[in-house]
Amino acid sequence: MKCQKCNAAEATAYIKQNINGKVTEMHLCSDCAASLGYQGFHNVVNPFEIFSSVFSPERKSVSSAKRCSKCNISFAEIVKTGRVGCPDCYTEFGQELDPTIKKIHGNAKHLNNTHTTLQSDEPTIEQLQNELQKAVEEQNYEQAAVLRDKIKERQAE
Amino acid sequence: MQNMTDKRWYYNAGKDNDTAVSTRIRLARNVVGFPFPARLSVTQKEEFNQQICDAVKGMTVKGKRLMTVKMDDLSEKQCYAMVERHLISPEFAASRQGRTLILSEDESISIMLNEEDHLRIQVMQSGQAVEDCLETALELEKALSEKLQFAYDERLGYLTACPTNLGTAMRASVMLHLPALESKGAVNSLANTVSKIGLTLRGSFGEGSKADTSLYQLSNQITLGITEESAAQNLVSIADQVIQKERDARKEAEKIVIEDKAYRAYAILKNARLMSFKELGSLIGILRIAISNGILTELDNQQLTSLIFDTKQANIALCNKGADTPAQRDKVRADTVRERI
Ligand SMILES: [Zn+2]
Ligand SMILES: [Zn+2]
Repeated sequence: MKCQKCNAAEATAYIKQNINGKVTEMHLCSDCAASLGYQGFHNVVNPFEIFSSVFSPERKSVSSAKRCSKCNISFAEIVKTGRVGCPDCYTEFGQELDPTIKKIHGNAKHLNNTHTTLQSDEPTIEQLQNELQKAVEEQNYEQAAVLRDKIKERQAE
Repeated sequence: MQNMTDKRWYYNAGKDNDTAVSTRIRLARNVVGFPFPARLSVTQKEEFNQQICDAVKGMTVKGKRLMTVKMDDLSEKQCYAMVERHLISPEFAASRQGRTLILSEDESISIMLNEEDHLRIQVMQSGQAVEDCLETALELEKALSEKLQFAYDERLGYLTACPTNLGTAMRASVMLHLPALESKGAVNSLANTVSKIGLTLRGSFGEGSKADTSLYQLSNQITLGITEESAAQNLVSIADQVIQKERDARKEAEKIVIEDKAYRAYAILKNARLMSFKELGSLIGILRIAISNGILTELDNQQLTSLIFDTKQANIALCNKGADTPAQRDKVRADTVRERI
């Protein structure tokens, strides 16, 4: 078989990639394989291989049909591809993913050095108005007055 | 050929460029509210790209303006040449639909959109420049974070498609040319040692332990529970030690032996008519050893580095008509080397 990239040399390297469950296969000569720098972006070359060892056998007993409510990926797919579907998967599959994360990273907790949240924790005017309405309904007039002032303040901004 | 490429970052001389070829920092980031790229349709990817491109519009980083390239608009050759220049990953080149590359003209700053993660920010510089690259990468990241909300968790850090990148989602690496350590057979034990302290040292091409060209990547492995700065400092301190070991090893042989090898290598480079990339890599290694020993000092380490980036096969094929077979490329490579050395 000829190399699929240069079409000249004999293919000696068989490269199978499993990226998010999408399997691509390539037959390359050693030169082409080398020139493509077969070396993953983040050092994970064959995620499937790495993850089959990372997701330990006992994980398979977990409800693998469970799906993420945000992106709809199933836990079975996560195990198969070694990739989660969306940022929320980390909370949706918190328990299921925890042993895997511990295997990779130990008990480490992130040290924040750079992250600043884009949105402030302050409630939006809309949220304040909802709270105000609730306070009025509950006849909590003291609270309502405070909220009214807050809304005025925010609207003036 | 020179005219097209001479603005690229690897023409600038770097620190410790007798041994350190280049430094690269990569940060993975994802935007809140979107599933990861594997679960986006092409249309969704394109909409997402547009949003990021709008955010990047007019942005300059370290005085460098960022441009946008739709990967679909590039030829296969152009893409593989980018892979060879370490500008994009092989995965990114393999499937180009719905993918966009944002880059500076000198290619030192880039962002891959819809690789495995939404954004993969990358900064490259010649020589050992871990701290500079990190500063630039974080500056770009900060500018982006003012316009985009990145997926982040207090405990897990930046949320990435692959759990191995959680935390800082940063990979930093220094490409080292280690011909003397390699010929001593010292690289494997060195690789073992650094792996115990959370780094990897591996051949720059492929996964084999031995690099044909004596080029190796030294990279950080730990992303969770460490700050970007500490990870960078660890890398710098180990890179410094490896560089020193290589320099010591280069001086171990007898001067006459080094001289003999150096002038023979030089003669081949000056006269060969066909040259494989592998041969070029090992001859450059010999020249680096020579320069370290005060031989052939009229040669410039940075020029040797630029040959490494300019003469891999796709780059040759891209810049030269009729360089489509290995033999034709070997000829162009030999011509380029004679012209430049
Ligand atoms: Zn080939
Ligand atoms: Zn999800």
